[in-house]
Amino acid sequence: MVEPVIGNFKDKVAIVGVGTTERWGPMPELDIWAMAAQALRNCLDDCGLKKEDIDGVVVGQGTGQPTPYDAMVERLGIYPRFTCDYRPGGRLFGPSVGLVASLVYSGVSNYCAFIYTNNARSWGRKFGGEGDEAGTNLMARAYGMTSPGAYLAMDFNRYMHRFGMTERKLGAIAVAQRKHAGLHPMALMKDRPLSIDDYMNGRYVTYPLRVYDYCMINDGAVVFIMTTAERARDLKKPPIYIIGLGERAGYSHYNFDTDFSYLPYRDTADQIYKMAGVGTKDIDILYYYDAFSPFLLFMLEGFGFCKVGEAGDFIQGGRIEIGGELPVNTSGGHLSEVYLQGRAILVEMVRQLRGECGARQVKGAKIAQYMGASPNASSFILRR
Amino acid sequence: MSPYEKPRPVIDMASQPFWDAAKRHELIAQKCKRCGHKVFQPNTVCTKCLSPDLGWMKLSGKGKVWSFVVFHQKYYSGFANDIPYNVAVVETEEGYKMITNLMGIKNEEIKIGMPVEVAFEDVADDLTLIKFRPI
Repeated sequence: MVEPVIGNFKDKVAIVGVGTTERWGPMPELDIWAMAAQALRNCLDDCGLKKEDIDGVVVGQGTGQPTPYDAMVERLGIYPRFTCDYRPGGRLFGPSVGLVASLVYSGVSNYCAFIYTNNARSWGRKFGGEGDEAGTNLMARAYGMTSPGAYLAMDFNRYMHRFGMTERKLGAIAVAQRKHAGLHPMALMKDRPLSIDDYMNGRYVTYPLRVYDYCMINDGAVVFIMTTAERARDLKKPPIYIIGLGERAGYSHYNFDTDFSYLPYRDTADQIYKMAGVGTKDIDILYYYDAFSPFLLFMLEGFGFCKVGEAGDFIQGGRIEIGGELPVNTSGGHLSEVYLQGRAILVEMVRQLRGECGARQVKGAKIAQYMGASPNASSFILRR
Repeated sequence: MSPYEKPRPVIDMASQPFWDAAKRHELIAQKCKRCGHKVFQPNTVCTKCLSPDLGWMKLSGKGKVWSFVVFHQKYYSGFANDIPYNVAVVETEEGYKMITNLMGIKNEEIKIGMPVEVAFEDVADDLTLIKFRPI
């Protein structure tokens, strides 16, 4: 059993405000700083704080134009006691939630804002190939192996072989999340329904993964603010408490030697469930970093929602859809709402726990868990 | 030989011996002389005990397909005419996992677990790639 590393500050820190740009997608009328400002204004409105209250700023670097912390606080006119970058991008999103919470719990910051703004789509990010070799091993490029998705495709083909999984069964994930997007006014894919047959007819990007198994590449900004539980009670909306935090960095991704990253997921699960005092059965709504759909299989098994090799069956029959036993990525996630590297997922978690989600509201949802993808496994659990 | 248009491996201090051996049509991999740990991604220190004393050993060249993918989307212009092309991970007899291409087989006929052996392809005057073919 791995001890919680961040200390047991269950229920001591809360997310009190969330804000985003008014919509997702390229926003030619706004530059990247104006996007951040719009999300910050909406976040301040959400919690009733003033910009002057913010005394900590953690900047999450996106995958587009660089947004260093110094330029960010200058452009937005914030005067914090503490500021830093937390990069790069998505794999460190879960850990960055832990960092912000730690700053609040330790008293370094009373009201700490996490600011993230990303123009990856307008910036022309591609994730693989010439001039954009993210996720490319510099020996493997000689064999045409490039892009993070191809590594997941490699893992998933092995997974199918080992456990008798099929491509059609995997399609349940993309179909469920697209259904959720249909209930979300901001989701980029809200008007593009997807059936399992549509999924099977979709083009391969890298066999055995299809275009619907890949996240989109988008523009948007997200801000959230955390404070102590005591201060949180005086603000506008019900506090959403952090009850579990954990991570494990298993950087042997290019060697295919971590067995679908079960090990770092298990180590992370040990930390968060122990800290939160809950188990997988207590999770009402589940969120995961869906850069590529097979991550969900490996995480469900690694975190213990089902046994190793059984996730393919576990996700069938509507179980992971709103109305099912364990709704997953209720906003549509990176596959169908927007890809902002986990940040928009946190917004959805907070809004679900507050009961603000309208047609896609999961009734009575009290506990939500986020699972961050390997190689840097991470997780946090929130409650209302 | 005509100019080589595909992406080349990035060769550094750690991987130079590997690619030099490939030119001699030898497949070699690192094994720590201090603790015996096998390190496939060429490194200047052992990832287990941090010893800089990594030795190279010659591999048999035999292995099995651990997994494979088929690229349908163009990422590198040098590979455009090869689409759809396969990329495989071959697990060698000695337990190293290598990213490579499979030659002499149609993509539809590739099976995980099938036995393969090394095939050296001299793609340019100064570059030999290490590929595999079914036995």
